[in-house]
Amino acid sequence: MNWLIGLYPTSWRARYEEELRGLLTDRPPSVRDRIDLVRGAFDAHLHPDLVGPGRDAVVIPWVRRRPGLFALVGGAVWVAMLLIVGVGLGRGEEPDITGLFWLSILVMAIGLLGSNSAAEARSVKRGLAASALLFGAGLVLPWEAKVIPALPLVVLVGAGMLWLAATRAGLSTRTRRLVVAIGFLLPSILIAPVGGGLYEPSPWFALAILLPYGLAWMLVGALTTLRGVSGPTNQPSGVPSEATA
Amino acid sequence: MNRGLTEFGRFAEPTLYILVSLSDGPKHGYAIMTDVEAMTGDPLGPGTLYGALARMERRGLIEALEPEERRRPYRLTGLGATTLRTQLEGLAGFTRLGLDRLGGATG
Repeated sequence: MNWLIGLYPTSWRARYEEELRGLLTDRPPSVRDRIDLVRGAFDAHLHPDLVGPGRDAVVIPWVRRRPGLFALVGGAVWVAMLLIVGVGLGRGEEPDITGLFWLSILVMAIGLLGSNSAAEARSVKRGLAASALLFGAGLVLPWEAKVIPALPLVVLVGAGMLWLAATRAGLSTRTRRLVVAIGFLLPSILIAPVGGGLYEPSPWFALAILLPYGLAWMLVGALTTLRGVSGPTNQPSGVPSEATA
Repeated sequence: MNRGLTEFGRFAEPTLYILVSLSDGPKHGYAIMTDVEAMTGDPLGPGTLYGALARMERRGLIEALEPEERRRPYRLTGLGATTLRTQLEGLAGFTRLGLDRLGGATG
């Protein structure tokens, strides 16, 4: 439920979040209510003046929305890549998606960099440094050996992505760890032996495992684009600062 | 139907329901929802409720009172009461007209 309220703009939440949470506690939302909340969040973004100037208006500069756009585009490229593979498999072809693969990883990594809060800065920088090393290794290694840096790179970016998705959803640290463990480690364990050539699963199986990551990145990207990443804003004085997700 | 509330767009009808709900005294969000559901038979979604409340508050039709724990009651303002009266009188006139014509056609 937290993530649904999180879809609303910061200024709107500063004014109505507390009572809306109270309402949803009194009356747990049905599926129809959840859809209504999503619709309401879009409306609130389209009409920021409802809680606007002179009240609790917070203008989120585009520089704070940009990381979300990178995450959104990175996820979309990832999904597009898998769809191309899926269509190719249906036709009995093997399309070359190498360029799309590296492009999506690169764009996602940029989104990861921009989506961190101050508290996560150190771990994200370490993750990016490792990503850069693996990416560089992927560029210089011969084609047959590219899988060696590619797999840990996917693991790194994928785990970061799930962590971000769980953070944006407002989950506790303990639940976030559980999400990363179940959502990432399990598929990784299943698919890692493929890279080692230990077994060859159905390509559809691999697609089914990889597709949710792109969709989750798109979700994180959309949320981050709407809400902006944590940091100073040009909000008027006396306005509560944006809650860090 | 709600000519004076046309600027509320898709929130015009919920706004009218909320105005009627608040006409007998202040209510918080949950009480408004249950009251509207009892009046109309249709539940008011939480997103629609707060979309309408924000617009009504912005236009000065209602005002928020001090919160009681996590619940914040709202009450009708003078402008809200006038707007509601105008809307209901308009609807009553429209209803009379419709019934007269229906009576003339079938009678």
